[in-house]
Amino acid sequence: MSARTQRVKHRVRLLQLLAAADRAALAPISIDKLHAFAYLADILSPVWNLRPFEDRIGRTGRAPYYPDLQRELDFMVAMGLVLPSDISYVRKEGQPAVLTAHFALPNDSATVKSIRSACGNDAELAAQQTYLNALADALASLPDDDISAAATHDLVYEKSSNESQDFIDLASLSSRTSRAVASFDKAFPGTKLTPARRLVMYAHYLGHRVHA
Amino acid sequence: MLDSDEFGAKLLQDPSFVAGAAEGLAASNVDEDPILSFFDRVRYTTLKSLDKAAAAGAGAVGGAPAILVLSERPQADAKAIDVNAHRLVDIDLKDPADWQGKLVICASHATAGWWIELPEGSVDQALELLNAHGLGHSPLAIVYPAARALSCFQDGGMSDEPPIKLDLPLNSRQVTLNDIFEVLEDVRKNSLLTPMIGPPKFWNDGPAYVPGEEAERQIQWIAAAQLRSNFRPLIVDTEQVTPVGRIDIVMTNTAGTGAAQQYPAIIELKALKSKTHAANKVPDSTNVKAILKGIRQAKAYRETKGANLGVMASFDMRATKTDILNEELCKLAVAKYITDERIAVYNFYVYGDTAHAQDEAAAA
Repeated sequence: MSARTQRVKHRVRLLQLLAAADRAALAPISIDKLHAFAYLADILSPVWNLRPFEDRIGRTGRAPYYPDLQRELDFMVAMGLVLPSDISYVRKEGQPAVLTAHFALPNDSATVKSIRSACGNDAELAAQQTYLNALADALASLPDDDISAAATHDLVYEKSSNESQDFIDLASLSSRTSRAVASFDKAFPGTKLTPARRLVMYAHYLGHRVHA
Repeated sequence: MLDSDEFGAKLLQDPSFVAGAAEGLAASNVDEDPILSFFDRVRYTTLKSLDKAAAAGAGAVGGAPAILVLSERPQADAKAIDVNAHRLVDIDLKDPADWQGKLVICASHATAGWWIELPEGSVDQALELLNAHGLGHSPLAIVYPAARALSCFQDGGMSDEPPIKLDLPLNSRQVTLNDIFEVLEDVRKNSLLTPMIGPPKFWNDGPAYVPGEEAERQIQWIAAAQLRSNFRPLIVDTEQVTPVGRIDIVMTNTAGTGAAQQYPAIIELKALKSKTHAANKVPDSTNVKAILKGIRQAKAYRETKGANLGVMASFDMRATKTDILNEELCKLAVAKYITDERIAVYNFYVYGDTAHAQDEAAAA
């Protein structure tokens, strides 16, 4: 895939993530929440029978972060396709100050509307949007302050003591996350567990892990 | 690395896995209808908020109602009404004072949205305002915290259709046959009794006793929602599939050990009719057969699930209310299947004509 195509795909993915966040009243969404959403969308994609958007993500010891996605987000802000708000510097102890902001799709952009309309006419993108909408709903049912921390406590992202890999292979279909979601059937036999319901259940499990 | 079985077993022993997933189970539903799903979410979030206030010793909640409107683009819709609309999150975790008296343009999960004050505290003015901004037919729920009640308008505030009425009860109940009976009786009296209070399109022609096409599904949805509220935190699921058939309502206690504790009750629902939705006559033999089938199903499902209680509840939409449970065949079925004190059969009268409901009330 050419670098240009890759960039376009990242931008479309961002539009879809932000559209789902808007629909779930998560927008304007903070940087950490947006990356957490993008990560959980990748690791949970088998629940919806979809492939993850990214192949891998680095384990940095901090919250999930996709540098390529962030770069395209910055470009989209410059292009007027994404609206930033609450721009500020945050300085955590022992770390350099970082620029942070919240992001949303503009309500009145004809360009964004036409791109989203085109996406809606593509079966694959439409399926992805349905999935992202369901996941945004699931995450929004968590306490707002727990959403980004939930991704950090994902069973795959959280590094166990015997793991040395500093990246995660997101395309692995037998991830601990997938197996945990499959285990709901054993925990609640006979209960009707739709894919959307499994997302809410996994999100709330992560919510409990945040406070464990 | 743990293999799949070991990993799964370890997870199932992790209390946070079961508790977290159970919380997610309660916070989600499997309604295929996004509007009914939204109403159930409003019921869940506002009841949780009211429970939180009660647990904090807030006493009776008074004050203004709130309107929660379903929107695909909550921010855009709210800002079109008022550019100064504010974001509201975690409605379920907030004190009711944080959402009372507000018009909230909500996301489908009903825990977050964008709000403005109810204009002059008036529900009517808020509905006019929504209409003026093209949202007059958006599904909405009006929450009355003081009355602990919810009115759900599927076609929006400008529709002439009656709302679906739900309760937000103060206390949760223990699961007994009598409590199940009382909740279903409340469903009958408060949500179904006459066309005036019944859900929209519950009757195609009430006075002629022609039921609506979706009447059974509406009874099931309202009963399930009311059971969820009255027996919280139990999970109340509909249409659960078992090897011997599809159970209308299963109540699950996710903290229960052993089948009888895990499944406190199953409920089989039937609607008795004198006419089909297309106004064709339904012979009473068909209704008797429905009762016989329902009793057999209630017993079979209770045994299959290992549930503690089994209930067969029929909602009687017939024009002429005979004592159908005293029909000879029904009595034989009761003798055959109602063999212990953990199973019961109830029939609830529902009227297509308000005068007939008045007759019942006057005769009481």
